[in-house]
Amino acid sequence: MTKNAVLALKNVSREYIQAGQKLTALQQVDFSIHPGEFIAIIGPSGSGKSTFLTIAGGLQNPSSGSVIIGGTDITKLSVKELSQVRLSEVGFILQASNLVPYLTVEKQLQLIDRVSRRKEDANAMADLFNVLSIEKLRKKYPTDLSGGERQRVAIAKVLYGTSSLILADEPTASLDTKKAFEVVELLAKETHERGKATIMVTHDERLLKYCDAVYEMQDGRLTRRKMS
Amino acid sequence: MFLAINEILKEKSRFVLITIVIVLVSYLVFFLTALAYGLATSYTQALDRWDASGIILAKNANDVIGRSLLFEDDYRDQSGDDRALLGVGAATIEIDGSEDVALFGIDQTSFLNPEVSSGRGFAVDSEVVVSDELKRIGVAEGDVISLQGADTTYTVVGFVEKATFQTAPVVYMTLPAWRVAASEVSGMTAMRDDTTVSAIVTRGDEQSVQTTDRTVWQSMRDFSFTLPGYQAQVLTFSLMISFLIGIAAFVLAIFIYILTLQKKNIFGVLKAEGVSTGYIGWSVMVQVLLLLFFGLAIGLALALLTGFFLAGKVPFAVNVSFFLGIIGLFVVCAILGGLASVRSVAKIDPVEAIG
Repeated sequence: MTKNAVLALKNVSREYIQAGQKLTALQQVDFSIHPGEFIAIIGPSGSGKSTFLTIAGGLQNPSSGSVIIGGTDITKLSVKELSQVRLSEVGFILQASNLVPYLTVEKQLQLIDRVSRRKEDANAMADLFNVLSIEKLRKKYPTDLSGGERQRVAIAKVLYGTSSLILADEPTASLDTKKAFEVVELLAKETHERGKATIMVTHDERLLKYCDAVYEMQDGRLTRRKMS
Repeated sequence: MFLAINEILKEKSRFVLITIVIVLVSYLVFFLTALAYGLATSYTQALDRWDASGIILAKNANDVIGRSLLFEDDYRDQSGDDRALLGVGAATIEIDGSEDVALFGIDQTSFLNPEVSSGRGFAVDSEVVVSDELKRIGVAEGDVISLQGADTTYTVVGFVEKATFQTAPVVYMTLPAWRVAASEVSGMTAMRDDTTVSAIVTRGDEQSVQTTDRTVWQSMRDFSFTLPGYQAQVLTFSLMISFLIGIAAFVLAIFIYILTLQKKNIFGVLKAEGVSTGYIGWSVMVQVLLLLFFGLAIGLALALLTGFFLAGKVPFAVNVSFFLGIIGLFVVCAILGGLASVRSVAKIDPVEAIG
């Protein structure tokens, strides 16, 4: 079912030529995710998880197949239009958090207003800071934050934007167990409450209990795991 | 704008250091340019104020004004407001200290008569008007000065700004007074002829100038370049200064380029998040222009301040068009450096930045 999907991949394949050899990173992947869904993708390294994420996020085009974000096939867009889609529709949360080193927590969020030419929403910001318990970090720089705090700020940044699709690449890789659980629990809760669609790539099986569905990636093939 | 300013605020000490580099480079360039220009003008300052087109010298003087002697027969046909008789000599004056000066004998009714900045013009043969550079060795209005090797004394009645010839301060006097002084100092008795002058300064174009078989006309520019040492000095300094300016501008461009290149990673992440290359490029340019504005402004202020405090001790002269040219070149080069780094920002593959 791909109707009303935030993101839908249809028959997507991706091949690379590396050192004269053809490598297949993704093989005929079909996938869709709807508002309010929190989905995990697991698999060994090199299985194609990262390629999946970069294609789903509009960072690169597949060799074949179509990628539909918010009803638009983004494989047909220009570089500039693609950038616009990423800005308004896709939020990234990366392993080493993607915060600008010289902006305070507060300004990380204000930057989104600046680049999307919209007005600052002080209420939404205050609400996010409160929900994610980072109120006291407002004036701090990323280097002054702990790993867990940084990921919470990254989540705040994504939720503050207009993105309907959140792509989290190993968001807990640099965190201890307790912090990792906190961050993922928070991400799942906000995804459900705000009707976002979140795809999390992870190694950590213990985090899967927060997810609505789990997919396994193996040699470029994506299969849904039966929930026990 | 937002990124540019916030980065400067966060990395204050780094940006202060970068600004200091730009300040020092521009200070050096501005100051040395003003010094070289000042030295060049001190050769010809007294000539530049004439607004003359050229000068007639005796043919046998081989372009050396100090050896040129013209008599009434040579300039009988040269009359009118566009012609002025000039006597030139060198002497040493003695007061508290001694100082080499250039003697200019002029007719007060001619266009060579300088405008005094203080005091009044000379009225009789025993009065002189002098360059205000002589204030430095203690010459004041009303002082009586004498020339080494001569008996006559003169009363200083006025001062003139920017009056140096071959770097020596000028002493202006009447033509008769000059004839006496020059002959006393040099022992050249031919000077006693009361029609003797060194040269005839002309205004108006070359066609209007008539010379005899004993005289030769040359433009003021050509004349300046035949002054002993002037050409060698001007050529040497203009080469040095233009190399300095060129290399400084190039270094600045590379400096700005590397500065931005360092931030490629964070720009890559921003691009992945959908921030447009235009937004990033603009913030790079704003930062470059801000740094440049403060760097050049402070560098210029320092150079002018140094010139102000060293006034009279070194020949420091500001040529506005040179300075504007330097500023323009620096701005253009820095923008080119910035654009080169914007181009590399445009080429960043967001996939690599994320992975």
